[in-house]
Amino acid sequence: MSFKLVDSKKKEEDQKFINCKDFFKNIRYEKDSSSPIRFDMDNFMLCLILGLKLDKKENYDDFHFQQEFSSKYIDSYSKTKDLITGLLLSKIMKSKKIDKNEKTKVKNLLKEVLDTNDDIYIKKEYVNLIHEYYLGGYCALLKEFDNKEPNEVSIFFNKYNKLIKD
Amino acid sequence: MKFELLGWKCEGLRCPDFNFEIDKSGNATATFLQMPNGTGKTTTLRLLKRSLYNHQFKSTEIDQYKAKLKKEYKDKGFFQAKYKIEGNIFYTQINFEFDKNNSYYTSSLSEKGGFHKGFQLPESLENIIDQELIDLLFVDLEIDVKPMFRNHQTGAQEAIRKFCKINLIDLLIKDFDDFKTKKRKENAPSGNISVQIDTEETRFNKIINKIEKLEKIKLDYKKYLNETEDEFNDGEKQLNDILESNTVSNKKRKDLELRRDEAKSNYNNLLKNNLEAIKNIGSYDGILRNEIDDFVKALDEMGLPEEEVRIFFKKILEKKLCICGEELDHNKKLIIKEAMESFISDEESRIIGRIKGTFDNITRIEKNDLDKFSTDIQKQYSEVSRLEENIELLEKKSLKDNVELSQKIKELKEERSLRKNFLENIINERWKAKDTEETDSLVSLHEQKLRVEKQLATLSGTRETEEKVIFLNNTLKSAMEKAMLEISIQITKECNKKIDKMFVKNPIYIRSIEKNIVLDGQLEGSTGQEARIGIIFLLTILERSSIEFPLIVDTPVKGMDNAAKRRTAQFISDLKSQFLCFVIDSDKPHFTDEFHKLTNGESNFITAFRRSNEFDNLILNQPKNLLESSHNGQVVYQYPFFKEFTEEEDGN
Repeated sequence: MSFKLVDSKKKEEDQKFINCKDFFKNIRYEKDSSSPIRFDMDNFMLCLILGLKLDKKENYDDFHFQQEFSSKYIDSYSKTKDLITGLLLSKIMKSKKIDKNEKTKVKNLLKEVLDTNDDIYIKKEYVNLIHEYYLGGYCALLKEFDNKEPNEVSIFFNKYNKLIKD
Repeated sequence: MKFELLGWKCEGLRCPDFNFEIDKSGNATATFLQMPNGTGKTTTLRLLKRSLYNHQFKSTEIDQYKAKLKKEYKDKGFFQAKYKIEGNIFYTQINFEFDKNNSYYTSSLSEKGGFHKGFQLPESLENIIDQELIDLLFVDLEIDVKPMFRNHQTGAQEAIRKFCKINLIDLLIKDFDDFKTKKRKENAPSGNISVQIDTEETRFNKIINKIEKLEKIKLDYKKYLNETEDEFNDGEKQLNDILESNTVSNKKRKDLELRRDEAKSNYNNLLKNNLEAIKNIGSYDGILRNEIDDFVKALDEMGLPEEEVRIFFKKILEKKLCICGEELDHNKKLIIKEAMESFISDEESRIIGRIKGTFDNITRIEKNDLDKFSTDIQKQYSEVSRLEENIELLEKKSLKDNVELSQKIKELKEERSLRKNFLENIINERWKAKDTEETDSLVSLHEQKLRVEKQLATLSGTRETEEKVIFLNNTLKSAMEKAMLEISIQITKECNKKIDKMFVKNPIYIRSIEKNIVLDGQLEGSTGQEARIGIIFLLTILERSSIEFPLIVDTPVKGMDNAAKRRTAQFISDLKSQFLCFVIDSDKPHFTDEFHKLTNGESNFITAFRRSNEFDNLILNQPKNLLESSHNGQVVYQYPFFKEFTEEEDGN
């Protein structure tokens, strides 16, 4: 399985929607050498973490995606990978209303969700869920920036920090 | 196989009537030709090029070659070039009929003449030489070689493409494309679908037009960047020298720059650490930390992961007797295995273990405060902006007497940056679903073209042909890219071997040649270094053929300091291929005189000028066998004359 960035919304009338690569382009390292945002994985994870924090998902099938940019977490995200997996399991437990006292159900859930052969740790059907949280976070960012690309990396982090913390 | 230029003869043209013999003094590899301004150097170079391929002269071009002075005008004129390949001499001649605004070629494949109408090269050359190759043999260091080192230019890549005839594959690709378009048009149905096809065809044509327009802009922008490069660099250097010359203000500026760099470094670190903090989910207060904390606690309460339990079961299964003492038969083992399967696997346990371990580690490190990051980042950002404003103010003050130059360089900087951005980013932007043919991205336009063609193929029922052509063309393009890359790597290696031999002191190596020549460890070389590496690069490409080609260079030492001129002379004296270069007065000190010394006079030094009373006096005492005179032109073969000859300054 692999990670992909969103390109457009399937409903054509939504003209305001900017694709994720364009949204970040002015605050990427290539454009602004101060920026720590260097990889597509950075774009993706900033959105995903925000989506998980806001518990906001968007329907995967409502969007067109670009070609996959990576089939696994890049090295600088090895710790984040564990934490994302933990958060995702926690979200799924909640959505399936599995209580922490129901150990058998929890164990079955782990078997259902985790893919020990995959670099992302997660079975295919749940990778879509990762993308749904990523989309949720991205749409929240678009809203925060009035559907316009941020031009200044310091302003981006200022707004992002507020969103992730509040 | 050695291919040499032996000489040329011209009559009735814009330049004086000349007859040059390059091989007059034997087997020298290098020839220096001194032609003062107004002697027709540009015309000569252009016609030398045209003498090697069948050029279609337009009437406006023919008009450019006719004599401009009324008393020199003739209805007819010609340019004849003499070459040698494998010891066999051949001629090509361009004949001009100015009265009829017409031109035609005649050729002779033998030394004795016997010219036949039409353009013809010896068999050994005719399939190798074409206009693109000729462009590589005749170079102006300023115009052709310098851009090969600039990152916004593609001169080096184009040189490799030309020489390796990669463009033949482009032609093949175009042929396939034309074939599928033809099939599509033949199959065009009538009725409703025909209207749809018309709509798509219109869009297709718009895309093609836009691509052509952008390709033209691309060339113009590259030309602009190349032409303004020196003016911009020199201007910037001049401004910098002015800034540095004011000691007090310079000290103040340096101090401000130091503080700005420090503030910038703090700012960069803060941004980097902020992103790292965000990635370390749980290292800062908030919902995410609480959620993952709850999850980990729940795992603890459930006793997960259960690695030990599975190990316990595995150990039992390996034994003959159960812990109760009974023998472990097949049925009992099945019961144990079933019980074991209700526990999560080793691998799943490891993942759970990692989640817990990573979160545990994060809780042990000092908590990140995202609010503090925001405040500190804003503070440092303001500090960087404030210091930059101060530097700008100080510079403005120091440059108050050079406002015009300062303004010019500022404008050039902005314009160059816009055009660089166009070449490096805008035309390469990815295709997006909502793109139209109005986009300035060539990448997107090519993708749109592909999509419209697919749509047209579907509508006209030629999808199968379309897909086959796409497959073939993609295969060809991929092979072309791989070949280009491989050739670039080989040429880089070969060039570096030559650099090793020819740059005795401080050799500069080539790191890679993709779009442009990238030097190892430095952004660009000095004029002299780039000229020498450029010549090495061209010779390396030319050497890939079975033929040893001559290299004809205009302005070989323009813009070089004396030391660089001397090094270039040394470099040329080591070349094995025939080398001909056009020089002017200012190129002689430290270059041609150095070369003369290095080769003990074993080179051709030729001077050619338009006759006048004053110049005619200069040759009065020259030996007749070293002169070649016509009614308006004079060629003198000899180093002493070459050395002494000086063109008068305008107005003297």
